[in-house]
Amino acid sequence: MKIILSLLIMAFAIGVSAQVQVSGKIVDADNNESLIGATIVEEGTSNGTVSDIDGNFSLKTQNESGVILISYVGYLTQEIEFSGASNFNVNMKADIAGIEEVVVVGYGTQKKSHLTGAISKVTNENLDQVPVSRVDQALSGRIAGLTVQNTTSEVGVSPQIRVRGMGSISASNEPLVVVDGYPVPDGLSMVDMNDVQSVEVLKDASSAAIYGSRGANGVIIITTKSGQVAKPRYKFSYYTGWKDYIELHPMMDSEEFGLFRMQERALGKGVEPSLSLLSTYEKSLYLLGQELGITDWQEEALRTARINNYSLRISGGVNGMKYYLSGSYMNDEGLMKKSSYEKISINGKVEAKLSDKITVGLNFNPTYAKRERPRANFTDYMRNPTFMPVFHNEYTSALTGYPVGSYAFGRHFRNITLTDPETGEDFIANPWGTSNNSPVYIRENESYFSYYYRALTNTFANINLAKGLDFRTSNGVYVNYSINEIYNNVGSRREGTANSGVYNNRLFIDLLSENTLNYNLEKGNHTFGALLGATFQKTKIDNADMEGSSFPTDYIHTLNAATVFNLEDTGTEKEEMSLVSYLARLNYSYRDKYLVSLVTRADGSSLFGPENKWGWFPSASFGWRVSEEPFFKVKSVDMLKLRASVGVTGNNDIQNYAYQNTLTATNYQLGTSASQPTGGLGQASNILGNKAISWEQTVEYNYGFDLAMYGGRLNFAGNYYYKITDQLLLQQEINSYTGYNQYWNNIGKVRNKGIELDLNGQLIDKKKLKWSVGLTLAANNNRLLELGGESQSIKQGERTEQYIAIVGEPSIQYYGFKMIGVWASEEEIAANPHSNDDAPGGIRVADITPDGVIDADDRTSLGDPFPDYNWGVTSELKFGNFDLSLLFEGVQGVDVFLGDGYYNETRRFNKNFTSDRWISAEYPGSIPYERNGRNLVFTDYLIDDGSYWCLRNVNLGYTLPKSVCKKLKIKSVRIYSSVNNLIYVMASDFRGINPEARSTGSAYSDPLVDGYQRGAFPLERTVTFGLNLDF
Amino acid sequence: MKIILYISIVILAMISLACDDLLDLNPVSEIGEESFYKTSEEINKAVIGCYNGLQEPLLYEWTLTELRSDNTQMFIESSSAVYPEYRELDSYTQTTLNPVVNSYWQACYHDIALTNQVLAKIDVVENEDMKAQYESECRFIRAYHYFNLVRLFGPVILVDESISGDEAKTMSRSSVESIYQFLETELTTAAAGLPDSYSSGEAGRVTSWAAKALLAKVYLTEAKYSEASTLLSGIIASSPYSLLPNYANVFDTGNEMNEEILFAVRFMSGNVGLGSPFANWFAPLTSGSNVVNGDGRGLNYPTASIMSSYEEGDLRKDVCFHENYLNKDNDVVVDKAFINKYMYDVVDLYDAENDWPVIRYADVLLMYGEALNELQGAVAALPYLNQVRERAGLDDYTEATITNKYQFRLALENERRHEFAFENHRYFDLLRTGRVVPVMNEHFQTEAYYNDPGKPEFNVAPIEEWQTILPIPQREIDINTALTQNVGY
Repeated sequence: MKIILSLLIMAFAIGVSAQVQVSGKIVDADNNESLIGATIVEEGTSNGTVSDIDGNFSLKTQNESGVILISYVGYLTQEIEFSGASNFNVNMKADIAGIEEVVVVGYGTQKKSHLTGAISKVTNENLDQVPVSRVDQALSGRIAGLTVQNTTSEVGVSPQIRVRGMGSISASNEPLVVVDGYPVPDGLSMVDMNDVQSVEVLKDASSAAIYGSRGANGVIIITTKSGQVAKPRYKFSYYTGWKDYIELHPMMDSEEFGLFRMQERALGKGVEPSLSLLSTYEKSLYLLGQELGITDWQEEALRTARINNYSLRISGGVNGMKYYLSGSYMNDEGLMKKSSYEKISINGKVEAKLSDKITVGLNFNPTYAKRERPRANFTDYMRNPTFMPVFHNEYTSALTGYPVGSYAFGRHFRNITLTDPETGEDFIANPWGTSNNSPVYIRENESYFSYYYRALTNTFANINLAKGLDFRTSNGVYVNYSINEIYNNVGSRREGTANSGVYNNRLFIDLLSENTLNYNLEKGNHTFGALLGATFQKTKIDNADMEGSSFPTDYIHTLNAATVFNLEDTGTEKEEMSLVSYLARLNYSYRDKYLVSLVTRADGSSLFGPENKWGWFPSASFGWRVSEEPFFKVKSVDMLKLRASVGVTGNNDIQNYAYQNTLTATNYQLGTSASQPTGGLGQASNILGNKAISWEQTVEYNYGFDLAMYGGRLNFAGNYYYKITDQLLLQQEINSYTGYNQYWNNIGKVRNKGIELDLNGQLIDKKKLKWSVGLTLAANNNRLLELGGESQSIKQGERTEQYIAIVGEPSIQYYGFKMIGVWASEEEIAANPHSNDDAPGGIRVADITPDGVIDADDRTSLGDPFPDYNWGVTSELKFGNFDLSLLFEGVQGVDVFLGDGYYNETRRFNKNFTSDRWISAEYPGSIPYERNGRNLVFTDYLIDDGSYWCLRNVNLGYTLPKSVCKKLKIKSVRIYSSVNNLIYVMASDFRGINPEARSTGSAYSDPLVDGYQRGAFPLERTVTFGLNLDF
Repeated sequence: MKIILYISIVILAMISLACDDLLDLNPVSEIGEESFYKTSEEINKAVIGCYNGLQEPLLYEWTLTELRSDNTQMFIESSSAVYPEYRELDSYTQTTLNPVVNSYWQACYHDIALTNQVLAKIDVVENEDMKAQYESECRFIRAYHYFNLVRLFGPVILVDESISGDEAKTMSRSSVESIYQFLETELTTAAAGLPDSYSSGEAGRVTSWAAKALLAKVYLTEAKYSEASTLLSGIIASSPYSLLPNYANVFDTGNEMNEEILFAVRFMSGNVGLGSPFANWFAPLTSGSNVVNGDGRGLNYPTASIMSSYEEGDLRKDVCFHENYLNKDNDVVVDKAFINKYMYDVVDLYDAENDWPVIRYADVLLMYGEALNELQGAVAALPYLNQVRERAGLDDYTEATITNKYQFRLALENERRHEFAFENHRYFDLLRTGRVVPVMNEHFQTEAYYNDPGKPEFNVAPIEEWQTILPIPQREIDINTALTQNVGY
């Protein structure tokens, strides 16, 4: 009715009133720059125009007098009264009030003030100046509830990201990453920080439920920068940096080792230290160490590495067309020699308004990356005795017969003849017998390169069907083609091995079509928003692997030169997956005070069996803006909002075809002269399939508040969550006499609960001095509630160390015997509970079931790999043209299993595993002697406190004064210096060099096996200098 | 109204796009089990898969047999890797958590499950002869594993059909007697259903002779000597098998499945995933390419005891092991012994051709000798022992040297040790005759290695009878808590 009425009035108005010309110029109030494309509308009519390239506009009004509304994205809308022909200079003020911030939610945006779920947002202020190669590393410590674990210092490797702890215990725990509306399978690895506008993390189920079956681990939404209808803007940024290590293992040099053994033996035997106490092995190390000095093999592995990053962005727009183009190049060297990560990425975004009703757009984001991986592990270096030089010198040449200047290998020192200086007698010794070549040689003779060609292309069309009703279709293709190339020269690793090459590639294609209808209606005190949608996704993966050997020469590394192919590792594989979803959302608010949001999504996935393909994920959330109530009269509070939500999300991230048993080629040799095996088929996996396998479901309750005070200068947000993940996609351990070791099942329950606090305060806000401080704190508590009727499940790691999941306790705990000391003597063993593998100098363990014997029943839980809490503190200080930002970060109460402590060669010279060890009954020490006694992987001897805190990043910048910029004819210039890990403090009893490192491959890809590290690369400290130009 | 129309059109379009076909995707690079086992040829493929499953247990079997006998030991050198799981077995201090014991157990049961699966689907084979053959092959393979399991672990869980994880948790261990009863029935059925021979292209499949020989060994282990001797005399009289004139030729990779091999687990080089790792595993640690390409790992190191026990002129000695090797770099002879029986000129690591002999004709002769000695005394048994000795280039034992059945037992034990050195027989032989404890305790006292204070196995405690039976892997008991553990663990 209202529409018809206003039409009538309009018709009447046209008939009777005189038109006038209203004109003016629209500029940014801050910098006087003209704003292009601002919208000018005569209030109460559909009569309007946009400003031109100089910010000028001219509008023939329908009424003689009235109000014009001037609006522009990112600015406060202005109302200007006019009466008769007039000319205005309009100064538009930027809309900076944080409360009215817009937050990206799935399939749309929402005013931050109207959010009812737990969503954290980080805008890219200086994140692109943090000298890390990846977006995820830059997010570390900035969002409460988001943990970013750098499981290795190797360049180009994805850190492990978790949102609100570990929900699943068999399927993946990786959050879903959505870039500009497209869920990308490679997470954050290919996103260029320079292009990022903002990062939103959907933490609770009601926010993530719109992503249904993939939302259970949280959703990270990346919004990239876009153009504005304005003159072209150019931004250039560059930084360059240097990296060095923070700490190395305390290894004894060869001479020190000899002395140490001499003292140990002397104490053990109650005599004076002398050379004769040493074994020939120890004696040879001691003498060679004296003769040859020290080669620090850890240093041989490392270098001062460089990082360089260049980026150029151009953005702007004309006549309803907006564009954003960027290109960047990064070269990140690893601390380990022969490791690097290089990336070129291009981002193009074009958006065109075809008519008032139709907008179309294209995002195109191709990326190329190259990664070189170190072929010799860090442990390969650190285990070498320091007497051994990298290249033979005259002394070792005379000793071993290998020419001066050639590579020295451990085996060259086998059966060498040395002279005992005390007795003058010659003796044969084997100071270092490894048959592996030295790591330096391996590094120079083997190569491992990975290449990634990745393109994300997405198109969209937005059609305004009627007032408030938009149809949007978005169709995209994601392609990721990666290649691995390995080549090993003849005898690279050890003498006599053939040269070999590996080539494998993986083509990952993902097709996605998303179609949504969006309806918004404001009527009086009521605001409605409704969304209906359907999405279709198909994924295809093609793998090809080739392995060849016996190349006639080492000059050609491609496999055309191979003469023998390893048929076992050569072949191709394909797999396919699909997902069909329907989604709906209803938002309603009354007087901007009472907020309700209802979301539901139905997902159908090919990963599950025929009867279980569909899942349903509803959620509801409520908000109450208390500060809008008339009774609320606290002046200092700008806004207080209370939120509550409940939602269901799912997890379908299990291996493909898990709902059935599959057979694969298992051949055999028949016949006496067969050149080919006879084909057979057998079980493809040790995991028994389950037809009934279906979604894992998480039900999550979230209660929170948002508080803004003192004109937005103090912001405080808190959340408490309680989530139960049910019907866990569990690889249930089953008795091996079934023929299988595991069984896919939907059993068990995990509960995560925790609190998150985000505090942000602008402590000082003067023209010349601004200081704001932020604090994030998150604590998560994980409990396994149910395990399908079982009370526990035990899993094994690479050294068969055990991890137990016990109902009622954290989902993962280390499991084994509790060390209570070291056995001093046979007599002590005989007099106490023991088992037949105990020996003096070995680990003495607690008799947990006090039955007088040590057996499997005495195993107990030995700590868990989950942190008690994570925290982060940021500080931003601006004084005049200088700015200084700091990020402190910490993790407390986490246990780590040190795999390095198990291996003889990495332990033998390491002071952390030798000082104060058992020598004899008289000198029992506190730690075990070498390999004596029980297998130490089944005890807590190797479990350390992995807590740490650090000054993760400090950034000091200087912005050139405006007057100088004007002379230089550029908009702004900022130079800065940044340091990563300037301060790094580990737990005092931590015996490794990198408390953040974790093994993640093979056995450790099982979510119930975690917290183990071996061969960790050293932590890095990076110093960078950078420049940002805006012109 | 227009709004509703638009919405309806879009919704209809969305729904029509989503046909359920989009969600029905089947494996491309593997075969779903439900669509398999439908034809005779598919059953044949599945039987081949069962043969393939024979390889994996052998990767661990030597640690449970040779290493626990006086034939081999772990040998620790200064820079060698540590293998606590092997060292435990070598010194009889194995715990219920020992990972090798667990791996062996899993590998056996994995193959047993494959045979159970085929047997459940066997009815799709229409040709009666083929059906009998496939069925019998599976029964033989299953019995072979159970025979090893029952000897190593005592009462094990007898699974003779496909079971689920829940069913597994309700099962308990079967008595040793019932397992032997099972073995007798199964092998008797298999021997009846199997052909006597195959075309040369199919050599390696189980024959009825192999089933009879394995059954004879089962009987021998049960001390059912007359049943054993009946079967063995039949094999000697009627089978096409014989001793090769030259011992070395038996293990020649150019002469596989020769007349002496009743049954072997076949390995194949050429990087097809069927290679034998033993050439590299057993070659001396850090021997470079002097013994085998790609170096050795020094595992299963021959003891001084076995190296010194061969008689002068025994032609088998040099085939079984070498006491040293020549370092070609500097022409120095390195005094490190190693097992030579499975040596092969590998191109790639762990990819040797050598089959692992399971039942040889020499075994048939010596088993027959063993049975006859128990039934009729040494005189009747001597000719069979002597056949084997003659081939080894040794003089016959005479009635003057072997005067009674007790002497014969020891002579036979010794002969079997030399004939089948490093073929995983020794431990089972000692177990069968109840002599593990005395032989091993004497070995620990006399072998120099165990009496060297510098070695981790110094001063091994004397073993007792319970240690001769391995523990049930702790993992099984952790899952099915009703399972009992063997005495002593």
